[in-house]
This record gives sequence, C-alpha cells and structure tokens, in this order.
Amino acid sequence: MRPSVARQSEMPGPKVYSLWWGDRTIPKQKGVVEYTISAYRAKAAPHMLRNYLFNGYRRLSGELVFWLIPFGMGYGIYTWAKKTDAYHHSKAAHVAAGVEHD
Amino acid sequence: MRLLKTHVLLRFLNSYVVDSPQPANISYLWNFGSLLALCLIIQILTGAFLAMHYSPNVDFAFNSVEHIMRDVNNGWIIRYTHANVASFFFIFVYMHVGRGLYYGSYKSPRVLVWSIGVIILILMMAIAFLGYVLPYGQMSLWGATVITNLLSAIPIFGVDIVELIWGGFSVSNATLNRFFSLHYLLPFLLAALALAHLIALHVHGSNNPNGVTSNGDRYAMHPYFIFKDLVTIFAFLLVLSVIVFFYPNLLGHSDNYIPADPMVTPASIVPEWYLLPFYAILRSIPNKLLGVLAMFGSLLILLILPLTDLSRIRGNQFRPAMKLAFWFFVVDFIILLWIGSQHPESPYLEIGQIATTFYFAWFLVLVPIIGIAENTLLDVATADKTNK
Repeated sequence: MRPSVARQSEMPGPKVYSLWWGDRTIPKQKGVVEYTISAYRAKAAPHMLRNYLFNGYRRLSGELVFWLIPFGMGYGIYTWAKKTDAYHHSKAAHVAAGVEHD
Repeated sequence: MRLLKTHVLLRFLNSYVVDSPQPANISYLWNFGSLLALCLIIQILTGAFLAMHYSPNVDFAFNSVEHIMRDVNNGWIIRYTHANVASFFFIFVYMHVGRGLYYGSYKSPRVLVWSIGVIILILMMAIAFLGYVLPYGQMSLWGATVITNLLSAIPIFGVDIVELIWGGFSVSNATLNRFFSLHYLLPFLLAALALAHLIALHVHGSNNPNGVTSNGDRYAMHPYFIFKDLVTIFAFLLVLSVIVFFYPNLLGHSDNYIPADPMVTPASIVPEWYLLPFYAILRSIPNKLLGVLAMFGSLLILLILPLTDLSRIRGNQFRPAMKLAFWFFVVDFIILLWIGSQHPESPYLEIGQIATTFYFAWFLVLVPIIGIAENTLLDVATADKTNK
C-alpha cells in the first residue's frame, strides 16, 4: 500500500480524528496537527531525572498552597475529633456529665 | 500496516490505540483510563477462575472460598488478586473522576462521556457490593442485610421490593445465588459501558490540562502514549504484587473471616473502604428515606456539573479559587470516608453532617458562584474603558 493511501483514508491522523465504528459520514475535525519523529530517533524517557524530579518538584511546589490550607484544616478536624472522642469516653467526661461511673 | 488500517475489525483497534492522535500535553493524570481497563480485565479473568471453584450456597460458600485459598493450585493468588484489584479499581476510578473534576472534563462537548462515566461508577459500586457478599462471612451477610434494607425506606412497597430482592424474608440462599449470578453478569455490562465511554470520548478526543483545544499539537497514541500508559501499568503491577504477597488483608475486614451467622450481629457493620464516604452521607441524615435519597443523590449529583459549572474557562489550571475549592472537596471526601468508618456518635456525627452539607453545597453553590465571580471579574477587566 502506498503511504498516501493511508494518509488520504478515513483513518485517524492529521486529517481525521474520529472514527465512529465504520461510519464514514461523521464530520471530520479540521486543523488537527500531529507531530511525530522516527521511532529510531525517539527516546523512551528523555531527561527522566530532570523531568520527574526537578521539574516535577517545580510543578508540584507551585500547587502547595492549594493543598496546605484544605489538608491542614482536615487534619485539624481529625485530631480535634479524636481528642474530643477520647474525652467523651474518659472517666473525667462521665463524671462531668453526672453519669455514674463504676 | 495495510491490514491494521483496512481489516474490518483491526481498523477499530488501529483507530483507538495506534493512530489515534492524542493531546501532546496530557499529564500522567490521563493514565487512569488504561489502568482501569487493565483492572476490569484482571477482575473478569480472576473472577472467571474463582467461579470455577466457588459454590454459591449458604452452606458451602464460606468453605468453598477457604477451599480456593488452601487446596486450589495458586487459588490464594487468584482470590487475593481479585479482592485487592477491586480496591485498586476504586482508587483509580476516584483519581479518574478527580482528574475530570479538576480539569473540567465534564464540560461540553464531553457531557456524554461524563454521564456514561457516572453510570459506570454507580454500576461498579453495585458490582463490588454484590461481590463482597459472596464469601459469605459475617460482614458479607450483615453488609448485605443493611444495604438491601435501605430499599425498605421506599414508601408503600419498599418492604415488598426488599423481599423480592432477597427471594425470601431475609438474606438467604436465594439471595446469595442471585447475587453470584449478577456479580458474574454485570461486569460484562460494565465492559460494554466502558466501550461506550470510549466511543463517546473519541468523538471529540481527550481533554487536556490547559482546557483549550489541543488540535494544534498532537502525538499518535502509539508509541508515545502506549509507552506512557505502560509506565503506570507496571508501577501498578509492582504495588499490587507487594499488597497481594505481603499485605493481602490490609484493606479487608477481619470479621469477614468469620462464617456468616444470622444469630450474631457484628459489633459494627462497615462496608468496604471505598463505599464509606457514601455510607457516611447515608448515616448523616436522621430520616431513613432522605438518607437513602442523599446517598444515591451524592453519586447522581455528578451529572449536574455540566450545568452548574458556569465558568467560561474549562479546568482549574488557570483558576486559583477553583483549585482551592477542588482540594477542599477532596478533603471533604476523605473526611466522609473516615467518618463512615466511625461509630455514629458525637463528634463524628456532627462532622459527618457538616461534611455532607459541604459535599452537596460544593456542586450546587460553590462551583456556580466561583464561576459567576470569575466571569464577572473577566468582564470587568476586559470591558471597554473608553466609554467612561
């Protein structure tokens, strides 16, 4: 098969995005640009350390403020509830509530 | 190459997992789809092998599971894998939904994808619940009793429906049999819905972190994203192996190793961890019928997001207020999960009620208000100043 046949078919690629289970009448999306390089040139995980560690840290640290406030409050509620619950089940609480304690 | 593009069936494979152009900028948060597909395949395969040795009878069910664990060659691996992948299934599906919430994947034109996804989520929960009943331990029996009894809250014919589901006057042999039958059948419906999820997705393609069209910058699914999906698939298999081989009962409840006994109620009846947030919502509302409605409503309310998210911007990448609101929602969900595992007493009861209120308010109040505020600020900032 000549490469141009595949390129001009309704198969997904730069000219076509969708394929509705054999239906050729679906409107084609225009302006899909697809980049690719030879498989012999592609590296599986280029700059893995730099990307995953340093750039990952840079990206995640920017979000830190959005995590700290909610999770901080959540942890505060958790510890307060644990403390309150422990008190409710303590002798001191039973005495304070006027409940008989064996 | 020619066959892959022209064969009547292979061309679908080609158009979905080989040539399909994907946004170049999708992050690892877009990997949960493939992980979920893998989970479904593992569950169906291990489930089929478990069914070869399992006996859906109240007298034999518990012992047949022990038989699988002790006598069947590698039966323990199959059973522990099935039990733990169920948990990972939910971890991934919550992350998948969270990704959708964060990046506005529910917004037009992907409303159909989102809606099918919500149905899949509800069906998954039903399947997981049915599966948990099958070993017929204490928590199986009493969990089934509590959850099926919820339907008795339906006015007039509620009790009739519950007895119809039971096939008797309590959770019994007939119940176990039909639960087994449905637990085997429904995953195939789930697989069909997952396929529909994919078909709907491929009409407009994946969303991306920026929330604007990615038509101008795409890579082919293979090899770029196939490789990237494999990274998380192998990471998952590694973690799964550690759990299955070293901590297989970490996420289970010890009471389910006691054979079901209708005469002994466990000290506390708790569902599997992934159902706890919704269990907490159920228990937060004193009225039984309203509690049941709130529980189902807490899942169905996901469907309303395409309507209540009024922001003109898709996704939270460039919306700091919504980012904060999103993480508050995540924390609220975790709090509900924790509350669901506690006894319904003060202060857990009150925290559960506030968290339930916040859960619904997030969808119905917070999301639209933040959207309107942002749109207004945008209008003010871009208004024509020359009219002054």
